[in-house]
Amino acid sequence: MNNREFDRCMRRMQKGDKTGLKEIYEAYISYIYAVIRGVVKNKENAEDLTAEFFIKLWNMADQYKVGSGHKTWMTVIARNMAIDFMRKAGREQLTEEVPEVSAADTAAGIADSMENEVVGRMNFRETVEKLPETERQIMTMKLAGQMTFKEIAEVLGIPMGTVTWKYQNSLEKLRRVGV
Amino acid sequence: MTEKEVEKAYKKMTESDAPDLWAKIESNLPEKEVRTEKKVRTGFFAKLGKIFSGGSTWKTSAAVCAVCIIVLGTAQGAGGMFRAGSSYETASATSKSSYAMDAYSAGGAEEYSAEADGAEAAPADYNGMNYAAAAAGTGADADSSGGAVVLSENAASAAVGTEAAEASADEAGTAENSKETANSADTKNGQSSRKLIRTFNLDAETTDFDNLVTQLQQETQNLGGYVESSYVNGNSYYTENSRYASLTLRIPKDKTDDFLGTVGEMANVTSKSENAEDVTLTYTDLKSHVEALQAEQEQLMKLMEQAKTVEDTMSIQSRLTDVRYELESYMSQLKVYDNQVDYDTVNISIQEVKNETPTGELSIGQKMLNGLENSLRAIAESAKNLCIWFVASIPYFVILFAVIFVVVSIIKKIRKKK
Repeated sequence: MNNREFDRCMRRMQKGDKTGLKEIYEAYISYIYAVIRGVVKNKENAEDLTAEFFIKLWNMADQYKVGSGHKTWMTVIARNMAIDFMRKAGREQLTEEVPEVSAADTAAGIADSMENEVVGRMNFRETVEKLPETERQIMTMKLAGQMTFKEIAEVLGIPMGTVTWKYQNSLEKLRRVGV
Repeated sequence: MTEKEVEKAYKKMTESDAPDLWAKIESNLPEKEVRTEKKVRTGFFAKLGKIFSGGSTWKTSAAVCAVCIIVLGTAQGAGGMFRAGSSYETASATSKSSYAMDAYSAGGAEEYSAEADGAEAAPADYNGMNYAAAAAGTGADADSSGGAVVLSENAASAAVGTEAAEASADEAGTAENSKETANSADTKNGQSSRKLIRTFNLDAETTDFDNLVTQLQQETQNLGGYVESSYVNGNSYYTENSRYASLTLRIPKDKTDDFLGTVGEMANVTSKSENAEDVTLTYTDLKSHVEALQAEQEQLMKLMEQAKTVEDTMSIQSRLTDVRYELESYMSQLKVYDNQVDYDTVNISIQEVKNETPTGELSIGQKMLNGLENSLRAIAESAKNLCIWFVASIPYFVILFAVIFVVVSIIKKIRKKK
């Protein structure tokens, strides 16, 4: 869905037409769910938050101003909802990240070979789920949301160079699945 | 896996993971009032309206300021085009080549030029109180009525002296003498012996203003004339090429034709006029008075020598003083006439232009081309003036923008409060 179609749907929603929301739902349910699921590991919580997201979108339709970058806008809203949920739930750490490889290990090349061995044994889904949260978010926004690196950097609040590096890193891991 | 395959697999995974939540969502959607859709206008004017109503204060202020500038600029440009176009309106065209062939040629001048001999001979009659022409006595005419009682005994001799004075004046060999001078046609240049005060008025235009003014003044001096008055008006701040000069030149009468021909070559003469005032009779009359007074003066001086009593001497002296006073007055008037006759007056007004007025008859095609050229020049001129006006008005635009910005901010605040 491009910006123009999205704006048209929003205008219909402003009129009270639910079909506008339905169209947006059908286009973005998998993406929004993946974004929220990347933060909130629990499936039920992710589903609840995803439903809340679309209800919130319906309520926010009157305040929506026609413009560009609707994907970024929705991603930020969805991610913030997930983060707020996790904070309210009392968890400081959002996810357990894969332990960073120390520089010494990298220098020795041992960690790389171990990681490669681990990745090689897992399937695609498992590999995705094992990705660190930030990298998973990047992969979701890039592959499922078709967002640009610049938009992703804006959403996550990290430098674009970091985004591209992490993306390449994750992509490499995913590419080795099934080799 | 390639990147494409990874992307495909990722998408497939996320889509398969997506739950069906629509029923849950729909059931929890609050009802909204169904509003009629406002027609959203797109296009240039819609965007313009958005800028004026919905844009930021900066954008709105800049848009209003731009509209004001465009309106003012258009008015300025239209006015400039009108002024530039009117400057090319042709005055009465006069051919440069035909200028030398008109009444100022030798044939036409023949009718108006003053007699050279008369002018040369005239000073000899009265300059320096030349009494040689008046041999004896003074005319017992109305001019010498003051001392009639004392001079009565010499009336007869005075009358004789008057006639002798007249005869002597003729014998002195002056070519002009009252009526004889006025009617004489035998001059060394074959010109009339009439006393004519000639005045010429010329309007000229030039693209080389400074050079022309200098050349005219120089040429005047070269011909033995002089500049009687000169007025030059310089550029104003807002217009170009609008210098104007007005010169009054005195040219020796026998050099006037050459001078006028030179002016015709140096500048584009757009109009000319000439005027000749015949002062022959007045001049002759003045001369007659002078001669009569000179004769009377001579006679009185002789009487002075013969006076025996103090009373006679005093009386003669008084009359002599009166005669001399009158004589000086008449001679002064003659000098003025001589100056006016000897030197023609040429009044030239010079207008500086960018392009000279076309002269001569033009074909229709040439007229069309000239008209087109003038229009293009007018457009270029007004465009240039518009640019100059714009740059010069930038300080005003800044102030205008600041005022509009304040006004727009106030209006937006009021709207927000509402």
